[in-house]
Order: sequence, then structure tokens, then C-alpha cells
Amino acid sequence: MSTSEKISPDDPRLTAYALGEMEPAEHSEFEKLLKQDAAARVFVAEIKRATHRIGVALAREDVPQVGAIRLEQAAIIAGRNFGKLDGGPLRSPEVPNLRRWLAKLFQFPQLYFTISGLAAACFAIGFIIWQANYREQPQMQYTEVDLTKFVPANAENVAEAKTEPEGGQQPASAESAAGVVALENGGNDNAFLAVTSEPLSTFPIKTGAAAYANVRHLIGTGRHPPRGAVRIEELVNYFPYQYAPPETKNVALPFAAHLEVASAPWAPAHRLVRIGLKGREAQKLSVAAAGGPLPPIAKDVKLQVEFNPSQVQAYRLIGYENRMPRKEDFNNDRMDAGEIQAGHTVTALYEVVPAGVEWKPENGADQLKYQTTESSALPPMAKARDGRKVAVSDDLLTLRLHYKEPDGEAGKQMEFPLRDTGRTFDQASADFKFAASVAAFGMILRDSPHKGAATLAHVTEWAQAGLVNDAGGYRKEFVGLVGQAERLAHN
Amino acid sequence: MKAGDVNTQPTTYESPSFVQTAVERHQAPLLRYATRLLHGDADRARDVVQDTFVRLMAQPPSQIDGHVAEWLYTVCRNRVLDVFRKEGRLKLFETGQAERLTAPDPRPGTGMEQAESHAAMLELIGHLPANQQEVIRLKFQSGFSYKEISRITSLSVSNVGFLIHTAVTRLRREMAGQAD
Repeated sequence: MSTSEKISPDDPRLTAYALGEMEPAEHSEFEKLLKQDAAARVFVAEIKRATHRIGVALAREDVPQVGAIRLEQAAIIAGRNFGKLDGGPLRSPEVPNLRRWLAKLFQFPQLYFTISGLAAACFAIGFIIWQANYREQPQMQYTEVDLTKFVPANAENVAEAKTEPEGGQQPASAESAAGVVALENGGNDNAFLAVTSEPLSTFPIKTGAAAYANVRHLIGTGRHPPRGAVRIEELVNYFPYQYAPPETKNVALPFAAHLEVASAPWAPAHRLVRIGLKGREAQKLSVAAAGGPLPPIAKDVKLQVEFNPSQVQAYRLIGYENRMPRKEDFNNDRMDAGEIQAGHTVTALYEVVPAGVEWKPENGADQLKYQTTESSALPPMAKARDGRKVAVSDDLLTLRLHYKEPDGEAGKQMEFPLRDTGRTFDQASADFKFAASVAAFGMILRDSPHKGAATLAHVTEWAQAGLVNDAGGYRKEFVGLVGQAERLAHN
Repeated sequence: MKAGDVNTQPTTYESPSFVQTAVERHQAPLLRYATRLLHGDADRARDVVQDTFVRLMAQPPSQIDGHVAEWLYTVCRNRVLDVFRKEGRLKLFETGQAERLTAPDPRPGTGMEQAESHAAMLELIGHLPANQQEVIRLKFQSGFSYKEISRITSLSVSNVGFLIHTAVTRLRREMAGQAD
């Protein structure tokens, strides 16, 4: 390669490279050229700075009032007077007045839109009901497109965060507050807790999902995300998982739990527990339901995990460093913070030190010892509930879900025990492997003391094992993101 | 639920909130996008975006899941083109025409200097040719990749890259000039 071969400042590859838009091969080739061209390297750095400022400025551009179009408020509202839409009741009737709905539709000033809207709506009825019975095959035609508005965490940008939850959750606004992410100064990773002193753990049923897009953007523009931006529970919950909803045969249970345990890939002596919760699917979809509000299935939901001291020495909740729900997360004018909607999904991961493995608590307090169930360290709840001594159990843990019916005040409870059958990581499900890879990725980005033997190469390997269930291509995009992070690490 | 059980059965990944989620996430940015394409006509933009979401309801979620945003923007853009076509306009942008929408003030409380520089940047963006503005916003405001922008706008990927590079280098130059 001739040393006089300089890159012209008009070369669009400079920006493509700066933005991480090149295929890996092309990227490496261009990088080689850059090595020989100091001026071009400087220019690339300037381009990166410029694109950052462009993004920041555009993020602050005004967004139209979100209240303009609300399909969920009243099926399809025709006509121009969107200002008439108020918050509306939380729960509107399942089936709207069809005649009124049609009449409003025909108020469209432009017949073109009316006809296309009606045709599409009729189409929708057929398609959506067909869809409800259709067994989906995962399709990967495009890499994932998912929009959130965000600004990279930056010392100057400290403002309210508006999170963007996925699935059945109601976000406050898709793009309010310019999507600026509050800069949190880390918050250390949760440490392992000894079961003897802390047998009960809790995690919130709702998480945000803004962190993933933020991390993706930062890495895409060549920056290492600051620790506070890497909220592992949000990374994990960004992705859809295949949890079956509860059976509705006899009792209308609001949730199904899917618990899985296998070895933690970054620390094979430890067990990794994946807790998945899925809320009941709406009844058969109709146009009304598709356009109407999601029915709530429960309120005042509280989750609790009790670990069995005869099987577990210590555990660690992965993510959720800032466990108290932030005001912004539940700042939603349409719904109670404690109300859960149909289809809601949440995944939590615990790393568990099983009995029989060498472990010392970080603060050096209690010594390692086996527990018998007669030990006074048993949680009082277990004693009081049964009124008798708890027998030795093989359970690793029990998940307890306290809730109330949406219209009720009586507290109800569901229990889900989990027994460890000793699966290795290889034997775990694809979803499990993928969730583990996302968690490991987060721990590496945070430089967590608990990342164990995990490397970005491992993350790719574990994620690829999870690519079988990739409706929408989200997971494939994640693998690409890990690749970008690797290149970043080597620069 | 049996203890230790794993849900190995592939299940119907139903998404009753599919349209719901799409509306929540994309209605506001889509409105903004449509308003710009329609040169500030917010009323018509609402109609176009309304129509876009109605069409979304006709799509089986499995076909579209994962690239909802790209689909929405593409359909929205085509709807705008339809509107223009009915009026006798054949192109989305007149060549050489920059949009004359005023750049709105940035949010208060960000500090005067920052606010000024953001406002300055927004104004410079507003003076770019309309086709460059569109791809700049799709890239840096909506977060689409070159490939996605190419699909939305029907421009080639290299064309997209060229437009973005031209716009970015021009903005960089102008901002640097202003700093003096």
C-alpha cells in the first residue's frame, strides 16, 4: 500500500466508519487505510464529535403532543378534532359501540382515508382473529428496528429519564424529555447475600427498557457506555422470551411462572436461575381489543423469592442495582403504578451459590456451614404459615407472587417452587442461554466483580446458542452489537 | 407448573399489545417525521399517521415484528407521496429547497451556553437541503441504520452514506466556523 494514498475528506466512508455502519471486513480494510493517514484519523474523530452534537441537538427538538393520536383510547377515532381526546377511563368496555365507531370513521374529511381505513379495518378483523390461532414460526427477514430516542450519557445531560418498557407495559411517552438518560454514578453490582441472614429477595415486576437502546447507541458511535447506563435487568428484559401464558381452564390465574436453573456459564460452580413471569393474554382479539386499552389482570403485585438454606448458601440478584422503582418508571398518567396489564412479561436472573461449594461472604461475617431445617434462621413465614416444622426440601427456592384482582381488595397469592435437576449450561434452553449472554455482556461492560470468566467472545458464543428463537431479529442484532463492542475494546 | 420445569414447547408468541406498543413508541416521532415531509402541515400529518397505524393493524404481527419502526416510516412516507401525487407534485422535495420551519427552542434548564449551541445546531440542520435533513433525522433522531434508511427512502445505501457524510461535514464546518 503506497504511503501517499490519503483519504479524501469527501470520502463518505469516513462517516460510515465513524458511525459503525460498515460490515466487519470493510471496517478492517478501512481501518488499515486509516493507520497510514493521520489527518484522516483526526477527521474521523471530528466526525464522531459532530454526530454526537447533532444527535444531542435533534433529541431536544420538540415532539408533537403525544395525545394527538391514541388508538387505545377509543378504537379508531376519525375526524380532525384530536384535542377532544382526554385521558379516558382506564377500562373501557370490551366491545365499543360498533355503529358509533363506524359513524366516526365516516367523518373523515377525505374519503380516500376513510375508504382505506375501513378496508384496512375489515382486513384487520380477519387477520387478527386468524393471527390469534396461528402458530408462529420465527422469521428473521430484517435486522431489528427498534426506535427509542436517547442521548448518550454525558456529564452535561442530567435530566429526568423516561423509560420505554416493552411488551404489555405502558410507557409514559415514547419520546418525552428528549429521551435523556439520567447519569447514575454506577451503583455497585449487588453482592452475594448469605441465605442465613437474608433468605428473602424481591424484585420489581416492571422494568424499563431504555438502557439497551442507549448502550447500543453509545457502542455504535464508538463510546464505552458508563456504568450507570448499563442496567442489566433492562438489557435482559428488552428481548422477548417465549413464556407460555397461564392455562385458563379452571381458575383464571393472572400469571404463569417459568423457572429454569442450570450452571452459570461464567462461574460453572454456581447455578443460574432464570425466573420468567407471563401475564394472561387478552381474550380472542377483535378490532376493539386491538385498538382498545389492554385489560389489567392484577394490581398491587409483589414478588418474593425464598431460598432454601439446605440447598443454597448465597445468592445474587443480577441487575436491579437501584431496586427502588424510580418515580419516572411509573410516571404514567393512564395507569396505576401497581396495575399489571395482560401479556406483561418480566425476567429476573439470580446467581446462586449452592450448598457444598466453597464460598465466603464478602464482608467475612458468617462462616460456611450446612443448615438444618431446625435452624432458627428459617424465615418466620415458613414457620407461621404451616404451624409445623418444615420438612427437608429439595427445592432450591420458591417464588411467591402476591396480588389483588383488578377490582378486588382481597390479597391473593401464587407459589412456584423450583427444584434443581443439575442441568449444565449446555442442557439449558435457548432462551436461558441467550438471557445469560445478555447478563454477561452487561457485567463485562460494567466491569462487574462478578463477571467471572466471561469474555465478549463467550458472550457471542452463548448468544448464538440462543438464536433459534429470534422472531424479529433482536437477538441477531445483539450479536452484532457484541461484535462492535469487541472492536471497541481492541482500539 | 411442575418444579424445575422448562417451557420447551414453542408457543404462539402472541402480542395483543402489538399495535398498542407500536402506537406508544412511534406515534410522536412519526408525527414529527410526517409533519416535516408535509412542510409543517400538522393536520394533514395527523391524518397520514392515523392512516399508517390503521394499516399496521392489518399486518400479521409475525411478519412485521422486529422492524415495526422501519415499516411505519416507509408506509408513512409513501402515504405522503400519495398525498403529493394527488396534488400534482411528483417529488417529495423540490431540489435545492430547504425547509423553512423554524427550529424550536431547546428545553429550559439546560444552561444558556448549551441551549444556544443546540439551537444553533438545529438552525443549521434546518438550512440543509430537505433530502439531507430527512436522512440526518432518520439517522440521528430516529436511530435507523444506513440499510434501514435506504429501505425507507428507496435510496441506495451508498447514496444514503453520501448524503449523511455531506451533511455531517457541512454541519461540522459551520459549527466550527460559528465557534470563532
